[in-house]
Amino acid sequence: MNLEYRVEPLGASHDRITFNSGVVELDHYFHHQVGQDARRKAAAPFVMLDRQDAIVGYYTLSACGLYLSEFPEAIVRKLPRYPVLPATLLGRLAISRSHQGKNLGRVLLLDALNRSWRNTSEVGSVGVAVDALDEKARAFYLHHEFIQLGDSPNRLFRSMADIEKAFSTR
Amino acid sequence: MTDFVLHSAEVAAQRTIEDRTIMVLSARDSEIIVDAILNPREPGPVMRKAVREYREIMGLNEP
Repeated sequence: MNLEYRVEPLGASHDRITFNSGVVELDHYFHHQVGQDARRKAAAPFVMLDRQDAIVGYYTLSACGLYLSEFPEAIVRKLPRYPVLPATLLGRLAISRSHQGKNLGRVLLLDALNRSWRNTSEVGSVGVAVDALDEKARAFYLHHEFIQLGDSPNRLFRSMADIEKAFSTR
Repeated sequence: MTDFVLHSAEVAAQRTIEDRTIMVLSARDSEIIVDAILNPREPGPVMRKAVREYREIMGLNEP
């Protein structure tokens, strides 16, 4: 099968220096910090490549903890691992300028969600959390059925049970 | 660099990691998250379409 795009873990052979998403923070992280995070296992970076092996986009996944405020006892009993629930952080997601406008951000997001869900057979996670960098990013996640948190408006969340339903539907 | 500068940089780096990996939620946000975990939703039309497209592009459709 010769697919136009594929996603794989970031490796030494990938040329990340020329990557340009147009967002300084995302580019700087990818050029200078991602390798260190990967070596220390602080984040797992994945890249989308085209047929010429050029990097189309990237995202990173890490474990994170959702520290809940106090809850009534009746609800706490239903919650595993209260007060800190294990979750997955979609730390960064970027598409190269030359590939923007082709809905590839959505494909990359779906890959991150699918991978996060599959990972729960090995390590537990109640959902995927993301910090949107700007209004455009926030709208993107809301459009893809993430829920917004009222007191931290740039933080969005989607439960793993929701994600499982989405990927189990045919 | 002096020890002070190094130490400050280290503390700042540490804080960045903690800020992102432990999300301290307000009472209201905790409720929103707990409700989402305990009451999963069916995917809406956008997600259904997105999953179909994703499978097609990635060649994940079973025969």
